[in-house]
Amino acid sequence: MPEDVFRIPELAVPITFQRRPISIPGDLRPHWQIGVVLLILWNSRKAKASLQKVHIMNWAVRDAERRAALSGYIDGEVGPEDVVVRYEPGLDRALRFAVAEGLVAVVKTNELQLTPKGSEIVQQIEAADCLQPEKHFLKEMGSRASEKRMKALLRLESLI
Amino acid sequence: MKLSIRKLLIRISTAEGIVGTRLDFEQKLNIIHAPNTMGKSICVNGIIYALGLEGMISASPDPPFGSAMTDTIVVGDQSRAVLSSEVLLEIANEEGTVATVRRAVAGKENRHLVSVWDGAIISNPDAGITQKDYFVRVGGAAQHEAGFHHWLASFIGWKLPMVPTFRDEDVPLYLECIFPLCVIEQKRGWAGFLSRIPTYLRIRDVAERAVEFLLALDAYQNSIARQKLREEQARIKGEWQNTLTAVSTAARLINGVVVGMPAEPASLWPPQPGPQLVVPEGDKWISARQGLQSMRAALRTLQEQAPEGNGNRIAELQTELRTAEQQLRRDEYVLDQNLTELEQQREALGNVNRRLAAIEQDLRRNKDAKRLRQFGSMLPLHVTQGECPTCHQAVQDTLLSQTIDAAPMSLDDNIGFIESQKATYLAMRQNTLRLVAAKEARFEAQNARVENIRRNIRGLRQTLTGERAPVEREIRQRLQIEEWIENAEKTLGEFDEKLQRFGELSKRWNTVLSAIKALPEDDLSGDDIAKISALEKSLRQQLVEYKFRSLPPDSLSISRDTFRPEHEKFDFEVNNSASDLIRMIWAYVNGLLETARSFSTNHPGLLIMDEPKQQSAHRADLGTFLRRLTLAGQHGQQIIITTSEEDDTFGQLIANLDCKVLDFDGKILGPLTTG
Repeated sequence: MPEDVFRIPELAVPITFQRRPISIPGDLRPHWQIGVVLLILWNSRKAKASLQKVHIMNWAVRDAERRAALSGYIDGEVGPEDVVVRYEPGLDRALRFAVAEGLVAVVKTNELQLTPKGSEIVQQIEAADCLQPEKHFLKEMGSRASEKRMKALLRLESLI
Repeated sequence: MKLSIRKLLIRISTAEGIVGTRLDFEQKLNIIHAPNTMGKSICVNGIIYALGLEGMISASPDPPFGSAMTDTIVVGDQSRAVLSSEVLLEIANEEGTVATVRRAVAGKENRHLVSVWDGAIISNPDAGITQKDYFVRVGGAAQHEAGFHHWLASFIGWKLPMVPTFRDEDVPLYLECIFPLCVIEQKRGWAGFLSRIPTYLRIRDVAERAVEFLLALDAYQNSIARQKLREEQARIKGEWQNTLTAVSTAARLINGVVVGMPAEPASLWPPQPGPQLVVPEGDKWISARQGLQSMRAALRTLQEQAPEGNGNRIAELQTELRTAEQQLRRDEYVLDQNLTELEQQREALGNVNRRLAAIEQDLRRNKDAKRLRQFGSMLPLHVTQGECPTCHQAVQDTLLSQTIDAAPMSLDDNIGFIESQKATYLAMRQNTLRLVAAKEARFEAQNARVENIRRNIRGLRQTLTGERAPVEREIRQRLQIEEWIENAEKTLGEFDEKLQRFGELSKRWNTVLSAIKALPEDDLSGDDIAKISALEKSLRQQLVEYKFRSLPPDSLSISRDTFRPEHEKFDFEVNNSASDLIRMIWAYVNGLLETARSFSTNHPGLLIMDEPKQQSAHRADLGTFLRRLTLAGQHGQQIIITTSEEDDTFGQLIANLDCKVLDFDGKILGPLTTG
């Protein structure tokens, strides 16, 4: 008897729905992603990197398994087929923010470079207690993740 | 605590004679007035360099001077090659003790050495006074007896606190980190709020530590005490868990488990109902003491039974064998079920652990995002204010498509949300761990039971086929029971002993909890709050006087956490008004100096500013600022500033101002006649 339900006084009220703010994963916060982008460029040669490399590093930096995979690929221990890079659409949005804020500049069509303002912020990030595993990994990769190797990875060439 | 600069002497030796300058300062407002590019910054940087503080300008090992001090100097219209150069500084402290320091800039002499004379050798070069060399700008200069900063700190009367770095080492709060609150140099000092406190030394929250030290706040000591108490808390927690593990391991020996024992230190001891050691009996759990009694009774019954002969017991034994075999089938089935349940619980534990790891990661990222937002507020980013940097429309704080029709939580809410998820999952894990332990104990107990029946069946068969005498079976049963009783007595004894240990831990836990409670909530003592309020009052008052426009000065306060100015709980952000940033720096550094007038602090009573008229700060506001700075003279404090105001307006600026003016028409550095 469904009508009976409404005999319970607590339920005999109009039901309203309210829209609540939603929880956002930390890596989808613009500040987190911009911070990671700045660190990727900072740890690249001449603070410059291709869009592809930024995507690859951004994919790899996110969890331990991926970090191990990319590191293993560069050391020639893992084949390119085991390093399946996924492109993060949020990264493109973050890049657009970073460029508009004047933290990152587009040099040539496909290359990104830190601006002086960007490198000032990234130095503060370096000094502060945040993004520790990310900083550690990117520093360790440093010049080992060269453009040449990143291109090779995308062409599925083995470094063995 | 006082440091005052009495005289500055810069000497550059060239083949054509000595070039340089000598400036005499007084214990009040001093204004160095000269046109641009005439060497004002050399004077300010000379003071910084002589005190070995160039680390506050940059991490570079080079002296903070242009070519005039190191390569070529122009005198009149003639370029002269620099052979060597040096800076001498005559300083005095609170007690009036005078010392002179000298440091080489160019030439063969070691730049890492500072010579110190305990007297005024600039004023009186022939005074027979002793000289001692100290090293500077190399490791240990702040801590080692022979380090110049060690000497300088004790000359000023400072005892440098030890502060943690990001590498979790403790280092002294280096002088380079403190002086940017009293010396604003031209190159970067005005570029941002407290932007010159060096971060390359990797000291945690270095700006906060510096302000805390300068105002001599108790907050730092309190926060160290709090840290120590937290460590003690963690230690007690560890001991508690170790003891609990030891008890549970001991209980395994008799297939028992511990119930009712809190997994973490409890402040209420003993808990009600009290912790208990329980053992399985059939399908139920009974207390180990009860189990011990019934086992003792069983042993007595066995002892009273007289061993019988084989003869007419065959039928009886056969019935017993059949019953035992049935029992075995039932128990094996139960064992199988127990194992399945155990595996399910273990799987659940794995799931909870995986989920927890994901939550941890997300929590860390959200916290990182929050910290990164704070960097944005130093250099204003549009995204931080929820505004698109290109089209200036509102944007939401997410990288999801902006068209998704749901607002994201604010970062703080989101962190709170994840923390509560984490708490839920931690509770789930605690619960699952307990369940796993209980299922393991149950499984092992059942396993032992099955083993027992199997052994019994084997024995019965052997007896029936005549391989063994019946008496042997009874003896074995007795031995088993005796062994269990012995173990149970030992375990129970251990259990009681450990209960005492938990009592002691609980007492220590309570002591720590009450010590934590006794600390002021935000670590600030009453004195601290009075000092911060005074600074806040001075800051607001000055901002009104200097015509600060970005925000109503009354809406600004000094953060009790970071000691930076904040507006409605948000870090102070300058939006497109560079001149208001300058006003804020004036008001803050002078506010620190003014606070030191009525409270006991570590402020050296010295303020040096290279060209405070930056950006488009109005001349009228600079005039108001200078007037306020003259108050320093009445309180025995010293201020040195430089300016390149045009001559006529400069005259108006300093009219009726109680200050010492060091006026130069042209270059400050010129041929030196004496010394």
